[in-house]
Amino acid sequence: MLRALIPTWGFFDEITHAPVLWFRISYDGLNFGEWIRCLVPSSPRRLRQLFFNPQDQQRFASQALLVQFLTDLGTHSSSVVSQELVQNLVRSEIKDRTPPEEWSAFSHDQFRITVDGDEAFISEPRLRIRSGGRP
Amino acid sequence: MSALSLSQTLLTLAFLLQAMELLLLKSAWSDQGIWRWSALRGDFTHYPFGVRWLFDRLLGTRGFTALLQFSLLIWIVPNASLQMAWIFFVAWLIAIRWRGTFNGGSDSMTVIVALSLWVAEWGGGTSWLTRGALAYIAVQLTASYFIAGLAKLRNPLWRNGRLIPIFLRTPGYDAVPRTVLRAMDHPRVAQIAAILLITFECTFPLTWINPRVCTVYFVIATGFHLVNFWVFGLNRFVFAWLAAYPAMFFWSGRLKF
Repeated sequence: MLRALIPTWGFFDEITHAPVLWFRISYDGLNFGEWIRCLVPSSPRRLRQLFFNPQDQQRFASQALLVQFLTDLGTHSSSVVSQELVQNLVRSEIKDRTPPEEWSAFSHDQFRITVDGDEAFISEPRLRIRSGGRP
Repeated sequence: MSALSLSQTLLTLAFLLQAMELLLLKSAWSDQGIWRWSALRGDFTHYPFGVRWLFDRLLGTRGFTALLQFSLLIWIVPNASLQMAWIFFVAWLIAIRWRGTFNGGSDSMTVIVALSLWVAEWGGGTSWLTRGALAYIAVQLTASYFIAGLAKLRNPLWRNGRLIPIFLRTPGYDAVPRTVLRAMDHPRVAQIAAILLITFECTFPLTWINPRVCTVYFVIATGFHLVNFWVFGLNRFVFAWLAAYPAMFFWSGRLKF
């Protein structure tokens, strides 16, 4: 709760090994498609984004969430919350990045996080629970 | 317009923009969103019941929406002390909800400036308390550049410019204009850019000497933040740091070295 009040003011002072999030989906739980990268960079900036830039803000917050998740994995603190948030992020990305017919049809998803090209985490395939509780 | 009231006006503007951005992102933090409160509240299970009850009311979708919507009306509140207290309170709640900060350094600067300006109001605008609060903002502003510059100066990869092309390709910040990428891929250009940046950041404490030096640094600093917006998309830093400048200007030349 005090992190905002006591900043370290270290901006880009060391090489940051930024995590990259990937997802893939399956329609039967056995055969998965290609890994697709999440949080792809936005299009060139416009002047109005100097005042309102929600897309970049969400991308920065998502990136910070991945860093927090990997840190939590190392310390086991709050990893349940972080993992749930990352899963929410993955579902949000799947919804944004897949055509509506694929979004409505897939049965399982899986995500992984890489750092400098190396795998840092891979989730178990997750069954999609639809509204009403049915798979 | 005094340094205090100018800083308050700029901070109110910065905070209004932040609140509007968060409202535009409501789908990401509402009940079906990424940062839904039902998930985040798991971080607070060990807190006392009263705190959890309060957070449920304030940080759930309905409460948080109301907080942000009310924040859009903050500029019509006639009492500056109340304005600054509100901004500090909501900026702090935003930091709590996003498990530290929503947007890193800009959130921290917003909280620091809001808290200091609130305290400054207790002094009635003229007392030692007001001057002390403005001094705290000026010290934090100086530290924000100086500490970052010192860390770069210590790193040989920063001094020779090799880190710049690497940072420009950092995942999450990699929507960099191609012209910038191409320019910084030239080692000599990257080294000159790195030396200029390190020199600017490390010499920022010179702003304390006199207002003319301070003005020159403010022009450079504003340009620096605008470039950061263009290259990385860090728009919030422009306004959060602008709100801190009047306090620096107030103290410039007042200390005798």
